[in-house]
Amino acid sequence: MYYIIKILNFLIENGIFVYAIAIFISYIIMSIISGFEMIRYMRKNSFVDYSAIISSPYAPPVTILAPAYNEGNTIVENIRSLLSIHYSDFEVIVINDGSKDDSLEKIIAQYQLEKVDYMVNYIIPTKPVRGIYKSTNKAYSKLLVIDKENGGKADSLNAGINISNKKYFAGIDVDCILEEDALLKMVKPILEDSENRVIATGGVIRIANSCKVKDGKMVEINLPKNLIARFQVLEYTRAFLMGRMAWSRLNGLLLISGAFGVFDREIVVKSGGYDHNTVGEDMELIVRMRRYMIENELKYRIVYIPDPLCWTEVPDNLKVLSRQRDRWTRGTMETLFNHMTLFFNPKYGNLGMLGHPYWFFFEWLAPIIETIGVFYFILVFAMGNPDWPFFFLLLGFTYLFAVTYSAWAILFEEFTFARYRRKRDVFRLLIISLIEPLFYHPINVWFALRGNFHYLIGNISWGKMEKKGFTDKTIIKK
Amino acid sequence: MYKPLLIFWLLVQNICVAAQESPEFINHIVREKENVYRISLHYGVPIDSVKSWNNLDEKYMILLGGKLKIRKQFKTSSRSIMIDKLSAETSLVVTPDTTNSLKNIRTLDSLADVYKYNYLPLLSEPFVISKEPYFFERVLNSFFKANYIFKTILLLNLFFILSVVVLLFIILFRRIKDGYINIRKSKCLDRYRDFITDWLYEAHPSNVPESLLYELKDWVNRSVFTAELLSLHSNLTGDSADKLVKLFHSAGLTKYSIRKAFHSSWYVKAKGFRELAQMKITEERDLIFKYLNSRNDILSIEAQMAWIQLNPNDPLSFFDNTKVHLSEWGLLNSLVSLKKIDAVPDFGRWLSSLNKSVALFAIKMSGVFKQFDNVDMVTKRLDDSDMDIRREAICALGKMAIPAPCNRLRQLFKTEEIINRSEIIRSLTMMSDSSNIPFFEEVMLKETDINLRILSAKGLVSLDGIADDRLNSLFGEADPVLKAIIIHAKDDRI
Repeated sequence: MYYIIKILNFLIENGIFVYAIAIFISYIIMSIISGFEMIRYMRKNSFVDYSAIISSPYAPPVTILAPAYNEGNTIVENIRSLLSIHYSDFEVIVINDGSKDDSLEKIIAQYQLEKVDYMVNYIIPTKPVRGIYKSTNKAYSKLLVIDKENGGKADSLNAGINISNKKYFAGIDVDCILEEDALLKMVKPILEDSENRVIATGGVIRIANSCKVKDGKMVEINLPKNLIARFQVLEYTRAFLMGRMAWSRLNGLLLISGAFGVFDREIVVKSGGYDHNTVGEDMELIVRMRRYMIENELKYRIVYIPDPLCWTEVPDNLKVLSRQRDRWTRGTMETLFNHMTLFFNPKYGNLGMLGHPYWFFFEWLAPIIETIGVFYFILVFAMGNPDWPFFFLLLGFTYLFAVTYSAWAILFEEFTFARYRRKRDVFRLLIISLIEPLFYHPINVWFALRGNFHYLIGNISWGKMEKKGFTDKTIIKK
Repeated sequence: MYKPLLIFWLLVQNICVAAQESPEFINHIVREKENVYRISLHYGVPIDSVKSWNNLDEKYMILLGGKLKIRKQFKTSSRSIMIDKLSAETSLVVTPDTTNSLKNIRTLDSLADVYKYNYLPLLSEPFVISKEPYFFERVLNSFFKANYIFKTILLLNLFFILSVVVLLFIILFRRIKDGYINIRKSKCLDRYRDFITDWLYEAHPSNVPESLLYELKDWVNRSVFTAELLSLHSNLTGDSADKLVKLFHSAGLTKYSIRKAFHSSWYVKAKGFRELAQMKITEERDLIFKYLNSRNDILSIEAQMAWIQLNPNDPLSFFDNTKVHLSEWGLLNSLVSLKKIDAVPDFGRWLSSLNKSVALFAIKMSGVFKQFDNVDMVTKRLDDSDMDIRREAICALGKMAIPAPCNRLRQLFKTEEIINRSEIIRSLTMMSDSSNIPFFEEVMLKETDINLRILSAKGLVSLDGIADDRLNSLFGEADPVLKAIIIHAKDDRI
């Protein structure tokens, strides 16, 4: 017994130490790669005329798929915003996923829709489609509305994929505000790569809380007034500018957020469409598409664009935030565990040796290890006498590392897109980065743990319940 | 979504390591016949210190096998001092050798026993050593005495603090600099705009005033002026565009563009190429030629664009010997440049190119510009072994919309893959030739793929006349799926 404790003790101490060092190093490497990649991206696109795409026969045709569930309050405006996007060959398909409110009636009235006799080809099986609507007004000829029975976001997107027949589709959350040139910027990487097939491009999600929106366009960009949303600004900046860019470079991107991404329809259909049995369908799809490409020995790339193209409201209270994080955690776990064959599988290249293990260890396991560490510390604290100077030194180290990392992210933002033009806002962000590790981070760890718990419980008793709602953002919309 | 991970607490757990084997303390395991007094003697430290390090109160008790913490620095130093004392008193010669052997003697009292010496008076000495130094001294001392992990982490911490402060200043500095430059830019922008418009409205603009030439020596003014001129130029054609080019030359900006084109950074060079192309500066064509096949794809695209604009007679000549695979983005930009010089070359020249990307481009462009002379050559490429080239040829023939290759396309349908099949039906639909009716009908009735069936039904619908009657008669005896397909195809709102 004594030896077991001794070994356990050794494992925890050294394991955590190695883990911590590994995570620090990976962060540093990622941010360095991201930095260089970002510089290159900015230089490369400083003299690009995106409008050249519009009038070109090379513009790839794109369908915008916007699934909506109980979005009655905002849907009319949001569709208007989608229709006003700058692009030549595109259509907008809005999928009403059996909303319980008056969304459909509102759209029909506003856009003069009428039912058409559409022969739906269920290439990917979905819940039955009740009807397809087109506008009688030629001005809205690009709009098509699908009314279907409720089946969740993945199911709605699949229905949209079935109906769309353009080469690419963009999956977006209907309550997002897209920049006018969003599609142009998203398709450019597809045109650029001459050696690989670009099967998906992802964009940055930026936070629209407290920003002014007029006619479906961002008019004034402000730092959110709400503290929780402000924390997320920092979090998103860090994640998108420092992390994704590097993954894109390594072609190891495992996630294109469901809020905005362009996908190659053919590959999506061939790899089976969105999986409606998971809450993290966006990540799951990317992993499956990658697997499809690798298993069929096709050269491919998944690219990510750092331009701020898509603005969305994020949860501004802990209740909604906890639900969102819970869902993310479960989604990550489902994807990782469904594709455990990838784990350190050299056959899958970067995906198997880098992407999957990284997510496994540093995304899923991190909050758990962190909690074990805290409990272990409490145990040691209760039993013996910790070395306080060393304790505070290490505490200071982790804290300062976090702050420095955030500060670098703010610097990246400052040197690239600098969307927060007021000096005050930048200083506020820096202050936020000082307090974030103390308040926001522990809360997040707690949410992640709860997600883990719910995943385990869910597998036993909850089954496949609660798949109906979409994003939790819906709830906070005024 | 990306998981926010700050690993804030992560390293903290390592204090556990510290708690058990901290740099300053060692553990003493209590053995038989030992008490605190003896242990304190063993290490040569005051008994009260041992008590305080181990939180022992008046009624303390220590257990056999238990651990007692002893501060490290006392161990050797005081002990050696005591040995010095002992040796002095007992005239025992202490060499390194004897010090080592003395380590084997368990406690000092046993040592004293050996030399029959009363050691108690010596105990006053170690207390002097344990005197606490001043705060700063202590901090410095503990830093230098600390082990290297401690030192590294401390230095890293200081580095982090410093870097955050530096970053803050960089951001501040940048903001101030940007603000200053923006003020300067806004000051001259209006004047320059007025000047350029005046220049455009004058019938025969004279020379650029000296004062402006002097102002343009400054890079801020120059960049504002150049940007304004170029953006205006890109929206103009004909006479006024030529006037702007003349202004550019007479303002002495040519040499700066050339300097940019020779710059060692690729992104400045690319901008330089762009300016050369727009301002028709043909002198440096050789330089541009060198970069047509550059490994840097952006630079090569800019060079190609410049080449096209500077060689209006044979703009796409570089296609003849391109070895690399041109990206669609590059071809798109070539097309934009072609549009700028208003030239449509005969793409037949590259239709049989061995470079796949060039061939695809030529086929596509033959279709877009409806170069009917090339129909035969495009049709020939339907036999190509490459699926992409076949598809491009099918689409191009569809765009040309002449019924000649209908038969060939229908033959091809049998052997093609599904994507190309749907393209064939689309192209045949665009050719709107009544000879296709039996083919469409067959596909609509016999194919299994619903998309193909719908497309061919649409093809029938587009033909009107006889095809329409045929559809109506088929509709009567159709199964539900076919009925749905026909209704779908007939609905012109879709």
